[in-house]
Amino acid sequence: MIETHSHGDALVVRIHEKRLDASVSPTLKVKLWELVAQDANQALILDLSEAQFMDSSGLGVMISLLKLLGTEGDLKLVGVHGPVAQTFKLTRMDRVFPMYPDLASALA
Amino acid sequence: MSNKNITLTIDSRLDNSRLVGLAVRGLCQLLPLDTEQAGQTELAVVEAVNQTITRAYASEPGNELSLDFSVAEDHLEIQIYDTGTTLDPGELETPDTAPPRLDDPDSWTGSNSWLAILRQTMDQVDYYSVGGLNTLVLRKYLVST
Repeated sequence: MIETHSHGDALVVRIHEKRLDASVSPTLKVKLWELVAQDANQALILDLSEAQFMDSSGLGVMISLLKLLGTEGDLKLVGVHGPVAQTFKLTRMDRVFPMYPDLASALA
Repeated sequence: MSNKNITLTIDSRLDNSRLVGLAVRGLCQLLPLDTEQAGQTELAVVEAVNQTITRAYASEPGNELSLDFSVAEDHLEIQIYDTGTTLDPGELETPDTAPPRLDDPDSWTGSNSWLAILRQTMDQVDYYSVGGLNTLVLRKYLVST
């Protein structure tokens, strides 16, 4: 479901799911919260480039993670495209999440 | 062109919304919808199914939820039936919440996002309840009107 690797001070989390929906959201939330619990000060970069669909349950996972990290937390999203980008836009949450086209620009 | 109809029946489990979403994706490939419109229709139906399962059946499995897809000359209509708790019709009239603000985590709410999504992606959204049967109706026009 997820794969992690470190880039300097940042932890990059690649999500290996094509659909971020109610079938996977509860498990994904637990896994991401576990990562934050291990090191809450670490910058987190979520790579969503494999995701081709996201409903509000998937969006809820992202929101819960952002809330967990708080306004001082460092969370970036990369690879948001197509219908996933649409879900962020339709709910206006694209105003809240820092998004980058690729990993290189998120790390810059 | 005569109407074409497809009926799906699922158990009230949230993981079944994926099955419905993929069915909608397949159906939309046969309709004159562009990629964005097809994606929006898929998202709207998945949101409607999720909401029906969580609201009408309190996320409890073992209840039936049916979807009728009707393709007419100029529109796709999806009717979603349940026999659970009825939605307050006023909820559909609830104004959209204020836009989320970067500095206010309380505004980062996912609540009612399903309704915002339905309003923005479908051309018509109706809801009624008769004799214990609740029906949510989504309509998407296939050509500009």
